[in-house]
Amino acid sequence: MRSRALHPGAWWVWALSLAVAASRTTNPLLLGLIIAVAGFVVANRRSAAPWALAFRLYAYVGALIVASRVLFRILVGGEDGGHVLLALPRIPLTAGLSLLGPTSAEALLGGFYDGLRLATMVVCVGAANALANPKRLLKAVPGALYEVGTAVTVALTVAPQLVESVQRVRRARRLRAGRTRGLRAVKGIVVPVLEDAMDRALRLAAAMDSRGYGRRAYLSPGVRVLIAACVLSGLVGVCVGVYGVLDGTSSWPGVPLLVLGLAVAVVGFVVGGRRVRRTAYRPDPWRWPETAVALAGVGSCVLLFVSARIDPANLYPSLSPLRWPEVSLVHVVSLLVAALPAFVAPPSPGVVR
Amino acid sequence: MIAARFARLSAVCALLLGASFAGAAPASATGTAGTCPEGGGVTVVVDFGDLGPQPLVRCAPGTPANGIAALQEAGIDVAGSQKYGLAVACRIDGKPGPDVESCAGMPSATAYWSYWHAAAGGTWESSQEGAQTSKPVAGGFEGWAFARPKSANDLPAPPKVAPVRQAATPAPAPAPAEQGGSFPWGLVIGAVVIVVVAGAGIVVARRRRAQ
Repeated sequence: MRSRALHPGAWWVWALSLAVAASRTTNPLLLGLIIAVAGFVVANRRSAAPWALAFRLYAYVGALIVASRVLFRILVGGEDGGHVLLALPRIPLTAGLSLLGPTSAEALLGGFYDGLRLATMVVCVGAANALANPKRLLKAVPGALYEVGTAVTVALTVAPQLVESVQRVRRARRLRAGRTRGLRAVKGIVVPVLEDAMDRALRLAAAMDSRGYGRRAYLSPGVRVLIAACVLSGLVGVCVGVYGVLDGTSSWPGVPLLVLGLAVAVVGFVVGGRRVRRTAYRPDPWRWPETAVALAGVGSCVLLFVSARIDPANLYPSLSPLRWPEVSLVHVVSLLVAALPAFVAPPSPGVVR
Repeated sequence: MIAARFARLSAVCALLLGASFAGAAPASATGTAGTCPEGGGVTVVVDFGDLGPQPLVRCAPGTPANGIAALQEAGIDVAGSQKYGLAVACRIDGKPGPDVESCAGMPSATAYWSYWHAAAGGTWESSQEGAQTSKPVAGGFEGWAFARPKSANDLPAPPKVAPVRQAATPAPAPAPAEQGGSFPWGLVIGAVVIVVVAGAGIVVARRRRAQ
């Protein structure tokens, strides 16, 4: 297979599908499997670009999430009638509130399961960031969402670029035989990193300006008012519709309002997209590997949702009474489908084979 | 100190393993079927509503410490939710099953177990406290009714069984729940698959770094 960069949209579809699959379960084995699958694909198909080094950072953030969830369960836990693991002293505060107190295995495991679910979603986003070039994703965004897309892309690239920046500054310090670890080194690293971020932002702004970003085609005032009215009324309709759908007590129509609001908002966005005139230089092609990668992600998510009926007890392992978390073969196989991109996606250009 | 903590940890592990080997403890290990005799304990009534089984009436001897303990001491299986533990009674006697209620957080607002108290011969009154903090009255009645209100704002209906002592009605014993009656093979399979996939990823990453 010839090496080329895959369409970033395909990687994002794959990663977000895995994140949705993770939201359907609290079984630590299935969540661990999702993390392992994401890591396996990243190890096989990430490029040598700076943003591809950020996966480890996302893994650390995930670990931090899990640790903080468990710590908070210990801190504000208290007796819940479970098997007490740590008999910590109780520190009474006001009005029935207290800190610490006996911590049960159930509370700790509950915090661990809950935190692991969020951590898995974070790791999935990290995998997409490591695999896809976020700036190329901006090219694929439809014109109507162009400004939103720019903001989202800038937000998504903050973490990978900071990692790259920190690594560069640390390398420079090492070359000058300076400290690279410890609290004292932080001051010497933070200032150049912040300065680097500032410089980079100014350079990016200048580059965008020179390439005509932010220029708009002329639209008559009437059309502009129409666009604003469509988008605003559509979004209000969506809000009211969602409220109607989620609130079981209401008798007024939720679904029709939601659909109507969505339609009006989409019309507004499509008309608004005419303001942005742009051409694509060397557009990313969408060929069969892209389809295969996206299908692997969506397929594994759909399989998990469909097979949820087969062994529902294994998706949410019981904590009271305490039971070992177990997996069903169907769920494991449906998640393993998501590992296919490690084989069907073309190797990234930077990799020497 | 550390040894004690380790012992406690291994005790929980052993308990977990034991539970999965031997299955759930037989549900009728404690308590007796039917209403309690005068001064003989707290009667627990479980009305399954539209879940299927006939109402369950069992007797917890003495005065249990709280509502959940009354259920357990009457020999009725109760499962909490993953997030809130036994502060929420999510399944009683295995109902509702995991196919309709995941028991990950709060149960659905239109399908949940409502909790009631009554004096012998009195009327059911909705509990003003959670089952983990309320103290059953000696010789009183504790009621659990599976509520299916049309909307979240409607009040649940009390148990259909009146809180009246009956002269030794031979109520059917609750069927022992069949849960994980064997070695947790799912755990082993899951762990092996994770180790294989993660190991393959680490090997690939090492090889790429070496190049």
